[in-house]
Amino acid sequence: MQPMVIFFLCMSSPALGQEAVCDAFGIRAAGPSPRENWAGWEEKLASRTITGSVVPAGVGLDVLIYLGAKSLTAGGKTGQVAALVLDEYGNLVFDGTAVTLTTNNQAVIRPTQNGIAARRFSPGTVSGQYHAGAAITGRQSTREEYEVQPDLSSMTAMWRDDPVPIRAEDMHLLETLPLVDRFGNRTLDGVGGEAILIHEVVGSPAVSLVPLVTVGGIAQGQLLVRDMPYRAEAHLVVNQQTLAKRAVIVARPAALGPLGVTAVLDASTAATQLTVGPFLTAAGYTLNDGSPVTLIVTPEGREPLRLDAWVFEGTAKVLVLADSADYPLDVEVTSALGVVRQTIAVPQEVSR
Amino acid sequence: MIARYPIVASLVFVSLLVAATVQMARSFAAALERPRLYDYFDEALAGLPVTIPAITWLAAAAPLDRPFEANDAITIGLRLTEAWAAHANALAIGVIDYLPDHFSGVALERATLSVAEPGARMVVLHQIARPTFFHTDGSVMQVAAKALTVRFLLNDGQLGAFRITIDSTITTLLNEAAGWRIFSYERQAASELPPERVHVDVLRLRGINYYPANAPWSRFWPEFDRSAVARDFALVRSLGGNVVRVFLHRSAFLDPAGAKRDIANLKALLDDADVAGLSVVPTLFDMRNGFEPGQWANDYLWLQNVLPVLAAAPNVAFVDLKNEPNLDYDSHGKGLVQAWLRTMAAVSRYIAPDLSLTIGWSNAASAGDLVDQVDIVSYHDFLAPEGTADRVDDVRKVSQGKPVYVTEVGASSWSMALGLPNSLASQARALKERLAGVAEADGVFVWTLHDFPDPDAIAIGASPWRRGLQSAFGLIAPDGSEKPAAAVVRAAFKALTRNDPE
Repeated sequence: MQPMVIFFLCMSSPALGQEAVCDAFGIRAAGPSPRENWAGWEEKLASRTITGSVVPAGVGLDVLIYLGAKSLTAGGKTGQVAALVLDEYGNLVFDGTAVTLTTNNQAVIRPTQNGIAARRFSPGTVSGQYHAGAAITGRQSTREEYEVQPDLSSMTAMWRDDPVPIRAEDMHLLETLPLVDRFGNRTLDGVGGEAILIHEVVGSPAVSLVPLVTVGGIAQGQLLVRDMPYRAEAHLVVNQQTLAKRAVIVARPAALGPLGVTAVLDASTAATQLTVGPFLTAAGYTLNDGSPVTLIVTPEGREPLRLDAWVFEGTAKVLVLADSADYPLDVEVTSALGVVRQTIAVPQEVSR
Repeated sequence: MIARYPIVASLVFVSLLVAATVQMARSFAAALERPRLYDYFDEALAGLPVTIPAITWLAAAAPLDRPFEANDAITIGLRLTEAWAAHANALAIGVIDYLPDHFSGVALERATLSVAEPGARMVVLHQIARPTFFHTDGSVMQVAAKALTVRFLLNDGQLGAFRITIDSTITTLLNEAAGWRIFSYERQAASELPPERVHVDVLRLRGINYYPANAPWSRFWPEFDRSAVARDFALVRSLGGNVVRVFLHRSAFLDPAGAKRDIANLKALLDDADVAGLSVVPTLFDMRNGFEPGQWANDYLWLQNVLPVLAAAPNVAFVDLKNEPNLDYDSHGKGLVQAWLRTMAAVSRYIAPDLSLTIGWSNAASAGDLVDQVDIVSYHDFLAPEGTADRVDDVRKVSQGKPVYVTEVGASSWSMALGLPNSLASQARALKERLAGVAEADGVFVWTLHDFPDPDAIAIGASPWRRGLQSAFGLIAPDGSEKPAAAVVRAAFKALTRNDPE
């Protein structure tokens, strides 16, 4: 590029003899140099004179695009797309170079100032992925992507199902109807929420949390109500807002039928082995191994004995010092299936 | 044999004695400079200089897309300062490894290319900047600035070309993974700094170079004792002096932690001198080591702190930019030292146009250097007294009609033994002859008011010989009594008073 002398100046400060050229990044000895192509003000120092000139920038060749923010909210704050336009030597193009700035297929022309053309743009109301670009005559920038997300602050939602008793033995899917913002945009996959279960417990309120994840606009979470109190209220919370409430009714496990208690007396040790079970629920499951069982055994004419046991392979076994004279035995069994009372008149004898 | 040749024997004995003394002195000096072990790095090193933003921000002329907060000003101001310091260092040492930390894209290409130019130097001393574009997401910024910039070419150690201007610049910065970097830097225009002064009133000055007796050199400002200074100024006045030459350390007045205190002490010194009827010649950048371009921006900030105080004082006679800079020619290169002096002279006028400037050359032979850059020519004369008047004449011839001051003359009274090499009497004699020789100068300053029994090794080195000499240049002995030289100076000053204009 040939420097275009548009200003000539004889200045008072004398140079020191060596001919040199001053530019933005320093000084160099006079003579051919790639730095001659740097646009802007330069001065040629000679023995007695200093000549100043402006090297003009060329036409645009490179268009660099800077888009932000990359994630916008539907109906929310504007974004900005800016283009930095350079000529073939990397100089900022001359002011007024027209740049077409495109976002969401909407093109706007802006002039450069100090190499930069910029515009603000609205995210619109429809969520999704969008493209942006910048172009000058014959050249364009790389394509930039940006995302418009649903407006979580305006989200509405409802629980999908009506409250029906939830069986304690099953994983229950808590699920919402599609979450939509004020523009009808469904929530993006992966948006988290939670169901806050506020249990009805007299005197000591308790809370359980069920994490929810949105898939296809629907927030879902797995709930196991085992060991929960009978009733709770489930609050659907997304983006720190409670969007819906519903009741959660817990259907506690029930025994399939009468609980059997078998007494086997070993006369040689004057001890009776009590076997309780099987602990079968109405859903056809046995209680888990380790599930606690408490027996209160009252021999005839004696004080009640409290015995703790655990379910193992569907039954619980305890050994109680009770001879034939102690019969009949009153047995009260407390387990996850409730409380059962039974009187055993005569034990079985152990066979030898 | 000895009885037959007593003179020869005496000469041999004296020679051996002198040789032994010199050897002992060297050994002592070497012992003082012996290697020392440290437990921690920070005990041994002075510490990295604090980066102070060399930038003044102006408010944006129009609303920006993103607010330019105070924190942005600090962060980006520091990044710009560090970038140009890195560029100046890269030019000085020819190493480009650190440029990518501060420059990217077009600017990195250009900065790298600029370093390839042999002998080229550039320093951005200070910028007055205004943000013109700030992307909403904080990724792109553009700054329009008036950048005080010096450029020069060194050719075989000599200054080949020199230019200092106020550039109108556009800086484009990108906020990348490593922080803000300069992507593009363009110079759109340039303007001159104010030219040198054309007229200086000639003051008839009879002065004393001054450090307090108990806190000379590097201890002066950290241990500033206003009452001691005031007493000493009265003493200078009683000797017939009408000016004191004082020294402003480069390490003081810049550190944000201590600058406020040091500036207050400087104002107090100027006030006390005024009360005593004394003018003041402040000597700047005292004990500044090195001339690395990467530190020049801090020199500019130092001047910004100090010169307004000096300009506001009615009794500053003139300002000495640097004490004996020609002594740095060999170690740092004449071209670099002169480029620094030209730069500091130019920016001093830019900051304080009404202050007259000089450079305190160490000898008359150097006094012709950079005459066009100063308002006053000054030099020191410690050569043989008999040529003193001739040297004043020689300097007058190269001074281009500017006032000529001999800002340091003096003699030591240090005696090792038997009045050798000096004595109180020899000091008085030498000073009397010297002061007579400088009668035709526009002023003279005696080195120094006080003796310093323990001279500052940082200033004068560890040589016992030099320390001995430097300990006894004073007119006042360590016990506070006047040495015979004081009477000589009093008489000489009185005689010089007759030359004063009515």
